[in-house]
Parts: sequence; structure tokens; C-alpha cells
Amino acid sequence: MNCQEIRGLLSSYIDDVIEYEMKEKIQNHLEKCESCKQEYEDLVTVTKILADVSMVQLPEDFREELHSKLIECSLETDDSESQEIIHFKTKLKKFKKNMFNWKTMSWVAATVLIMLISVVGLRNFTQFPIRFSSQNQLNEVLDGEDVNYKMVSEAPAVESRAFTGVNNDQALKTAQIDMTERGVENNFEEQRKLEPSKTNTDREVILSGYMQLDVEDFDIVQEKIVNLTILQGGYIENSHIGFKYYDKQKPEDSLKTGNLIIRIPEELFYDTFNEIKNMGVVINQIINSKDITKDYRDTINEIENLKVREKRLRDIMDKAKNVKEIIEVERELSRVRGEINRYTVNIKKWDNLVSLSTIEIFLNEVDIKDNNIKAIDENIWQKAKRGFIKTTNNMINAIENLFVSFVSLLPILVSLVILAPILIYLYKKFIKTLIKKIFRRE
Amino acid sequence: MTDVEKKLIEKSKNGDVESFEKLIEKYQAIAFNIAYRMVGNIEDARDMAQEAIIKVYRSLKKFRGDSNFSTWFYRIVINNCIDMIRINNKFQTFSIDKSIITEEGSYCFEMTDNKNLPDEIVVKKERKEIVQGAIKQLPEKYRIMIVLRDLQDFTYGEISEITECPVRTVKSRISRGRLLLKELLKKEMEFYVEK
Repeated sequence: MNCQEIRGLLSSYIDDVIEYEMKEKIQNHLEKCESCKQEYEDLVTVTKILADVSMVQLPEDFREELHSKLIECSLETDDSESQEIIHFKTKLKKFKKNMFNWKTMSWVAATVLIMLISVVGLRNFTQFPIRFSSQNQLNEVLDGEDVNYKMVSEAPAVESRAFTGVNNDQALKTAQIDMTERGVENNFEEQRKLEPSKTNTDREVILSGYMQLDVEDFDIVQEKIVNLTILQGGYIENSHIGFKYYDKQKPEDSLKTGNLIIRIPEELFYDTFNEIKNMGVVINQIINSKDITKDYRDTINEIENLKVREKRLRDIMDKAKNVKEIIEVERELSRVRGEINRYTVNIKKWDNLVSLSTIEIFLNEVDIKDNNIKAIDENIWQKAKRGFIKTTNNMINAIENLFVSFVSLLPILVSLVILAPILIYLYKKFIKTLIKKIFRRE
Repeated sequence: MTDVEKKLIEKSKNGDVESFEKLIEKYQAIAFNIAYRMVGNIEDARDMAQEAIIKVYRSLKKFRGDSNFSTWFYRIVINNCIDMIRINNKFQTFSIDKSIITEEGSYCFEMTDNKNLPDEIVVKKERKEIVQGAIKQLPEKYRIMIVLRDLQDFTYGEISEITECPVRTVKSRISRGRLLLKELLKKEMEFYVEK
């Protein structure tokens, strides 16, 4: 036992809440170690000083103040409860007495009329927005198709993207068309398993993929990905892992997130991509294929040209007669060689990118609780979700309509406000006669 | 919990203020002292203690009777003290990890210089002020433990229930609190002796 540990236990030793085995060890240590013994005595002194501190007296008016506050408190609750009951009872009485009074009947009739009008008015308003929203959906679909038509007409040597999201609505479904450079069209449903349509070795294409994955167990999935990468003959370019929120009390439960960038031989790209997809729930995926054939070819040609130039320069140098000419030719030669190097470096870079495709994976660890929800039958859940969204939309529509009708009824309300004083005056008159009637009957 | 207490609780739940006052009679002085030691002045302590007791009165309905009334009572008092202190931000906390800078230079908390605590030197009345000042400088979580253990003599089990912390946390906080207090007292003593 070292001094550090002993000192941590001294307090418990002093208060005699230490385990029995520890007690003896501490006693032995204290006999031998002067500094710890001093520490112990200091602590005992501290506890004695604290124990000496005496209790403070309650201030004189503490009890009285408390008493009045408590009384207030109790009255509040009593008050509100009994008040409500009395209020309700009187209302009930009034209502019973006046049930057959024609004046109240007319009020009742008036309110019923107003409610009918408002309901009918709301119904008229509600019909329009629903039509509007379906119209919007239709437009969205058309827009989506327009965009894809544009993509067809563009030059072939261009980046193409296939973007698929899991939480897609009906409208977007039809707009998903995968355009790979090779001109193959896939539908959303068919895209469940991505496959390369034509593998050809003539073109230089840089493949890169990105996916966002929700997983149950971060460590296991990460290991699987690493193993798979190595198995396929690739390597890990970058790995960044951190905790979403580190819970000190339960570190095992802390959820991790991480970013992995792996390089995979081009021909195994799609297989690997699909395999990784199966390790979790895909939230988001992007596949990007960049065709650099043209640039690549151009660069290679350029290099060829430059090499020819270099050869010619050498020939010239052989024929050179004096130092001045040699120096000029050297200068030109080194310039040309520099350019060749530059281009070659580019070519090498492209070769690397082409032969090894990149997959960037963003892993997000989620609690199993969340995944249980997905375990339920997908159809029922999707239906429920759709229904929920639908009713929420309807609710929002209804609230919008309420607001619209309120604003449109404003002229009526304004005139009511103007009439209000008159009405109140009449009302007061009638109330007085009502009260008299109640008193007469009681 | 005694039967008498149970009856008083029932009556208090129904709004009987007198029964409630009888119920808390023996606890209110302690509650006030806890509040006073946590805050350092009588006025605030009075407000806090009264507010806490009123909160207890209001939440009586939630008291299920499965724990001791006193434990539940003190828990509310302490939580109320902490809340009010946080709102008023009256804490002057003392960071354990930062080094303490005195006129002689700075030193870190880990090292203890083995000077004796000169408790004989100090007169009793001034000592109380020094002690209270030192307690006030403790960080909140240690302050609670020291107040409950060394000033009010609650057992470790009771403290664990009141603060809803496991006993090992209580033990470690008391230990560190005392060590910290020892350093604070030394510092305060130095200032005093120099005066």
C-alpha cells in the first residue's frame, strides 16, 4: 500500500467505516510512516474543529414567518378548489332555473347558428389546400424528371451521381433515376443491390462511395470493415473515431461515432460497398464515378510530345558548337523535363485513384432500443408512419384554415365589437330581471 | 417512522398546518443549520430553509412512505439549497486542480507540507468565522458531505440516502472534502496569524 492510497482511506478509517482487513493495514502503515501519521493527525484535528462548531439558533421570528407562509400555502389550494365548486354549483342552479326561459333559448339558438356557419365555412376552406398540396407533389415529380432529362443531354465525360436516401417520400421515388456514365438507367427498387453494368478496361474512372450507417455495435462493425478491406487487398486511408457523448458513469453505454476512409481495388468496389451496407442500416449513400479518361489521354499525349521534344533537344545538343548554345539548350531541356515530371506525377496520382476506389463510411452507433422499432414488421410500421404524417398534415391544414377563417371573419368581429357596448347594456338589463326571477322562485 | 409521525403526515396531507408544524418541529432547526452552513449568512439561510419547508409541505402528496420521512425531508432541503445557490450564484469555488497562489509562490494541492494546524493559537469566536469561511470555499459537492457528516453527524448510510449517491461516492467525497478543508484552514490560519 503506498502513501497515496492510504491517505485516500484515512477519512473512512477515522469514521470507522473502513473494511476490517484495511484497518489493520492502515494501522501498520501509520506506525511506520511519519508523513502519513502527520496527515492522519491533521485530519483528526480537522474533524475535531468541525465537531466543535456548534449549532446556530433558529432566528426568533422564523417559526412565525414559516407559520404564516404555510397558512397562505394551505389557503391557496383550499381556496381554488372550493371556489370552483361554488362557481360550478351556482352555474348549475342558474342553468336549471332558466332552462325554459325564452330569452336564454334565443341565446342558445344564436350560438348554434354561429357554430353551424363556422363549420360550413371551414369546410369550404379546407377543400382547397388539400388540392394544393397534391398539386405540389405532382410538380415535384415533374421537376425531378426535368432535371434528369437535362442530365441525359449533357456531355458524356462528366460526373454522375446516384443519390439514394432511405426515408424517401412517394414523390421522390419516381424521380430517382441512376445515371451512370455508361448510360444505364436503374430504378429505385432495383438499386437495392448495386452492380456495375459494364466493366471495361478502356476508360479511366475514379469511383468513390460514401455511406452513412447506423449500427448497433460500433466496434464489431469497424473491425469487420477493416478485415474486409484487408481481405479485398485494400488499405485504410483514414480513421477518425470519437464518442458522441461520453457517459462517465457507464462508459460501456457511451455511443461512438466514427469516420472511416478505405481504399479498395476498383473491380471489387461494388461488392465491398454492398457488403458494408449490410452491416448496418443505411441512412444515406452516394456513389460518385468520375471519368477522367479524356484528361488522362490528353496528359499522356502531352507527355509523349514532350518526350519527343526532349529527344530532339538532345540531338541539337550533340550538334552544338559553343558553350552559349549548350547552355540555352540545357535550359530548355530542364524545362521540358520538369513538365514531363509534373504530368507524370499527375498520371501516377490518377492511376492510384483509379485502381483503388475510395469508400468513405460514417458510422453512427445507436442504442438497440431504437433498432427494436425497426424490428417490427416493416409494412405495418410504414403504414403507421404514413398515417401519422398524414394526420399531422391535416392538423396543420386545419390550423391554417382556422387562422384564415378567423381573419376573414374579422369584419364580422369588428362590427360585433362596435355593437358590444349596446349588447352589454341590454344584457345587463336582462340579467337584472333574471336575478329577480331567481330570487322570486327561491 | 413512528406511528405518531405517520398520523401527523396523514393529517398534514389533508392540509392541517398545525400537524405539519408538529411534524417538522424537530427537523427545522437542523434544516436551518444545514442551510446556514451551506450559504454562510443567516438571512439567506432563513429564506432557503423556509422555502424548503414549504416545498416539503406542497409535495407531501408525493411522499410515499417507503423511506424515512426525515431522509426525504432533508433531501428536499438540500436540493433546494443547491438550486437556490446555483440561481444566486453565491458560490466561490475552489478548484482542486489549479495551483494555489500565495505570497510565497504557488503550490499544487497534491503536495502537503507537514505543518501542524495551530488550533491552540486561535480564539474560539474567530475560529468559527475562519471555519465558516473555509467551508464556504469548498466546492458544492464536498460542502454538502462535510456539512452533513462533520457538522450534523449523519451516518454514511443516511447521507447516502439523502443525497442519493452510493456510499463509495460519499466516502470519497468526504475524504477529499476534509483534505481540501485542511488546506483551506491552513491558508486561512496563515492569513490570520499574519494579522
